[in-house]
Amino acid sequence: MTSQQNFQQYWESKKVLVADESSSCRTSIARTLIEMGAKTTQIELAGSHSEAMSIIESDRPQVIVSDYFLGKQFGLDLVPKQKQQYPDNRNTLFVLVTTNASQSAVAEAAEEDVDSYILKPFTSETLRFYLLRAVQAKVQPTEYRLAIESGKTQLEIKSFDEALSTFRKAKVLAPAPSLACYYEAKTGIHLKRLEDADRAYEEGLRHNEIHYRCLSGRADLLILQEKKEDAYQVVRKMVQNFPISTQRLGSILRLAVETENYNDIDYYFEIYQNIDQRPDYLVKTVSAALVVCGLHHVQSRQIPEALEIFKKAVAASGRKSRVIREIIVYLCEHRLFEEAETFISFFEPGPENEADRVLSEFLVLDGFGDLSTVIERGRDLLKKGFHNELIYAVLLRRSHQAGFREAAEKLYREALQLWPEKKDYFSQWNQS
Amino acid sequence: MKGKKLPLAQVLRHFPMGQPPPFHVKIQEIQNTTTRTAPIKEARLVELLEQGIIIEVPQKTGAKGHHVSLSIRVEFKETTCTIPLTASIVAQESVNKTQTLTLHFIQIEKFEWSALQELLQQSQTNVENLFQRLKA
Repeated sequence: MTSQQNFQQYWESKKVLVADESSSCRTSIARTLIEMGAKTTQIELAGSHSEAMSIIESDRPQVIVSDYFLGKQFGLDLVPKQKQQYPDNRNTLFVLVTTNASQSAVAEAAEEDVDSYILKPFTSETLRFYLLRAVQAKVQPTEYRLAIESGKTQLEIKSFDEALSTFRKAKVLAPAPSLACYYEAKTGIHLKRLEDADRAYEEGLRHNEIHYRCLSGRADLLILQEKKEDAYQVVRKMVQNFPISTQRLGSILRLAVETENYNDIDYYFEIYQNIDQRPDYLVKTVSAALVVCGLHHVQSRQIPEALEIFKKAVAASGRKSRVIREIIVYLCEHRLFEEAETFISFFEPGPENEADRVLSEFLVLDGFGDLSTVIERGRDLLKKGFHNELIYAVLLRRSHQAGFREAAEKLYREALQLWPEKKDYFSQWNQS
Repeated sequence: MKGKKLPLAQVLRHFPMGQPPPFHVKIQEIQNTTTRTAPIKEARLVELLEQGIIIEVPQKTGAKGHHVSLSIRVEFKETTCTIPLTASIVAQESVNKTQTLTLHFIQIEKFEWSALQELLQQSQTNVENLFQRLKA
């Protein structure tokens, strides 16, 4: 049988889903698939994420061609859904066809079981070429690939001992079997044999010292073993050699903070800036990491550097008032009132930001204003309903300084009523 | 600088061979010059043909035989390249609220069109190489 017939047969036997928001793209891709041998009656088209999900559920397509973005959701979400239907990866094909050419998106797809990554706008020749290539890898795999896929299926159905033996056998089928080592390690983790898993990763990295999957797997394993310093060294190697997926960037940032590698955070911020679609969790992680990095610089008395980093934190958060307030509070705690004042202008107008803004302005005023002005403004804020523990703390301290003992006592009682659990905190300010 | 307009072939000469920077390709505006209706901004480039393109536009933008003028916009971080062209509609298909138009070029700067084809091909090759390296 010729390979052309082989491919024809492949497509004829497959149910296909094309998921894309653009009806023209769906049609264009479907037309190419039909020209390649797919049956018109076997192709389903989905214009949204939910439609695609329900077609996978009802029609169980073996082949999925999806855009990276499906509305506000992602085509990659369809991979695990397809896997639920077909644990054996040899019978399925997942292809991304997308305008998203960012390296982080490519890395993300490579971490999932995606078989091909095709850019839009495409020519029908390009589409056909890469689809054929992906099918070829499925229908005419090398012995090594076949063993890997077989082991992956065993892993998927939780036959861990069998999978382990398959991956070990696969290792002798290729001169540099890093991928087999990676899956051997993954199986080892499932079997809770973490030391064996680490040895397998190390073996994979001896075959190829910058094998992406072995590096990423080993970093995850070392984190799991609480060996964060070692994990960070592995992560560094990854970052030096590969683009970082959006998902991984968040965990790398956390690790950089936990291992106090603050000098690297600026570099990760640059990577973050080049990401088109930033999920909420990443926005929060990046701005939090930058704030922590800025705090570190303040503690080291590297004030200009700290202020630069804080500005990046504000930008990364999209000028979230909570982040700006946090920075101002911290700068005021370190008596950097002038520096804190420069951040007031970052607050966006609007009632939702008012509480954070007035608190911040009050803390800055505490640094510059005379006693009576601060007390007057603090009382005014309480009257207007801005009940914040920091306002009470400043007022308590300032009332004692002014000799207003009765007023201070009253404030102290009010504060304890509002925050009974913070007695120690307020007591320190309730002293003459 | 952002928004600076230069010919694509000229811009690509400034980048190392085979290493184009990130970019976005868009249809800037399309006008049906046969019906002389107002220009439409909501157009999407779907597929590149040998001497034409397939685009997605709102319903009733054009019919077979009509002529259109449009620009393909290639946006880099610092620079934008615009490839103006005129074309005739050789096929049209309506799906839901959109229309798929197959356009055959009447007039387009040949070097610019070749540069765009090369840019997209190079970009696909780079993505494929990276993808295979990551999956190895």
